[in-house]
Amino acid sequence: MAVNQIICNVGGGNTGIPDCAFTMANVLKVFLVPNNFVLTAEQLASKELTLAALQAAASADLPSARIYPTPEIVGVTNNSEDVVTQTLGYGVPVVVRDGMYNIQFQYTDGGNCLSNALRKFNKTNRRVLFIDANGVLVGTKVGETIMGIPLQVFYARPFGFNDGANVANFSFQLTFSPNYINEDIGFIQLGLGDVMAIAGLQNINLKFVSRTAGVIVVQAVTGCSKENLFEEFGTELADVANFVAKNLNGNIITITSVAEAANSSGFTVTLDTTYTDYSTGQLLLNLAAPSVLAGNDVPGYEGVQLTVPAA
Amino acid sequence: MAKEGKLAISVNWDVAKKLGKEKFLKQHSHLSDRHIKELTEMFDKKFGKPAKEEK
Repeated sequence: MAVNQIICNVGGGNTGIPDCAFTMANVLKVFLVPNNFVLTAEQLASKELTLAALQAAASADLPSARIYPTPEIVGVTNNSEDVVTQTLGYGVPVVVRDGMYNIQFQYTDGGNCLSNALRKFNKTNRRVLFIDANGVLVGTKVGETIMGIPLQVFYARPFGFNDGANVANFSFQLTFSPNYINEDIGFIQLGLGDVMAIAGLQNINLKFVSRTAGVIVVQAVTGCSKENLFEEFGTELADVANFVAKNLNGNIITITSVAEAANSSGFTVTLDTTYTDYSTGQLLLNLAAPSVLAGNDVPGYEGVQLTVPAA
Repeated sequence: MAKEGKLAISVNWDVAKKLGKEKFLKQHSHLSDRHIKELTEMFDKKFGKPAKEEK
């Protein structure tokens, strides 16, 4: 391209009506994705490969690489800005720019707990992918790939009160430039049921029960409902590979064994007290990465680190 | 590490081998008699009976 040469689209676009056209349906799900998240051409080669890539990313071990599906969207409020125009001196209105999309998405599943989880994204820099009611994934096209739509604003609102006639209102707001889903739209048809089934991870909190020197007893309870997982996953969780113990310097302490502690509906974690990094002071105990838990038949969970009191 | 035996208990056998049977069982003295019996059988099955202490 030559110096000082500008690109003018002098031809416009042909306006024949195709037999089959894409019109985005109402949004049923949103994925919050990292800025660098890409569905590659290889992953977009088939529905199955795309779904597998989404599922893997939704349970990625590294939180910064993970994609976070929202609950099902049950309502949309369009607060988008109108096209911005300027009226010139002789009364001619000229378009200055497109208005920004500003959409509020309502959901009900997950209640306050999920609302508070989404509010943790309020000051983070993420992009989004939409799933519409026909199972079409919509993002922005970059070459032969699809990336998330860059956001100006993600804001999960404080819940709105139940007023006796309306349920408590949980919602989040997305603000973004129109070009990303107009000229630069990227979409792929997926199975609605398949893509709606992709769920986010749930937290498992380790609840302290007791400690005697190198013997720690904990319960595993879900982060939101505080349901004890012993009945459901007692046998599966009682595995040395599922637990990680560290001292306060972050050095790993070897675990000798993990046993079901039926009396406390928890787990007895026995540490190797002969290990150099073992300390009778405070210790850190957590579950292993989500992929390890999933490999041991505890899929869909991530542990939250517990600070174990000194012996 | 895969769980072994009838009770839901999982052992890091590298550590167990390093400790030797006596220290290993002593480190688990807080567990129930059933667990200790199970661990003893598991240890013997893994390393032979009588187990040799490793210095």
